Amino acid sequence: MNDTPKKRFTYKLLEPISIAKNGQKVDATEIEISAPSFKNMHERGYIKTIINSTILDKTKDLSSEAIEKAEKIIEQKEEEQDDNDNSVEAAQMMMVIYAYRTPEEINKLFDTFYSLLIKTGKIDGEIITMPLIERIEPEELENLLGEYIVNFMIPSVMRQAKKK
Amino acid sequence: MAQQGQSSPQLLINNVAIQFVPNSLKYDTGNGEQDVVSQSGGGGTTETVYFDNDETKVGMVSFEMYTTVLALISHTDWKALGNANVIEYIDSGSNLSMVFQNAAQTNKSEFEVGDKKVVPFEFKSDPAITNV
Repeated sequence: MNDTPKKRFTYKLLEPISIAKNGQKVDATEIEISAPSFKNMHERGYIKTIINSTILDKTKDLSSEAIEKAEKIIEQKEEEQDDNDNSVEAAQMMMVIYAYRTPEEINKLFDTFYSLLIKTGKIDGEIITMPLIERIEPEELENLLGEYIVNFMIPSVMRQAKKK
Repeated sequence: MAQQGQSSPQLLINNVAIQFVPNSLKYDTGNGEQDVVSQSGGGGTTETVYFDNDETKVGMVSFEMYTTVLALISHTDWKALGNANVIEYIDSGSNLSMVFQNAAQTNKSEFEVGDKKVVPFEFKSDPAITNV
């Protein structure tokens, strides 16, 4: 497993949004998000809580064979170190969260994520603000949250689980 | 059908929503000044000549903010950007939106400190791009 925490990842919007940049209004697609830092401990903590409780809830529903199979798949992926395309895992992660978390938890999860986007994200080099987040299609926001979890949160959870 | 006046617009400057004093916002789309004069053809005949003054085609947005630390920080940022600010005006009651590109905060802002004191801001820009 690649034990070095990822510092940032980029996400390309399918539908560009218009932003102000260098005195002009332009279409922007590339979102770059940095890993959470000390300043984002509250937001990071809440998302990790959601992930941990979701994983716990999901594993209760799985047979021991299914859990072993999932662990083997994770180990295989770690060996391949193919972490350039996480889109499938991101979508699957969101599906599981939607299945196991309450609407109130999901609302708070997205609010927390927006706060992280504003503090750690840029779009085509410009700082992300709430008016810009409101322009992103809802499905793309879901994908973006899934990618955030897969790129930063899941590896952190896995590293901590391995230390036990 | 009764029409609704523009009374509660959203103002974004450089992608940031701005809180401003209600009813203080003004804009000029930058269509400029035109004039029509008459010229004589003799024998009592006249013909009008239309002039379109390009010199006056400058967009303008002005508003007031209460004297706060945020107002001071925003003013400093806007001045630092020169004419690289972008102002978006979005009317909540209709589909109207306007963009003022290459905007510069041109006025001298005097920050008066005290109860309900306000500071005026005026921007000049390219003529507005309007979407209705």
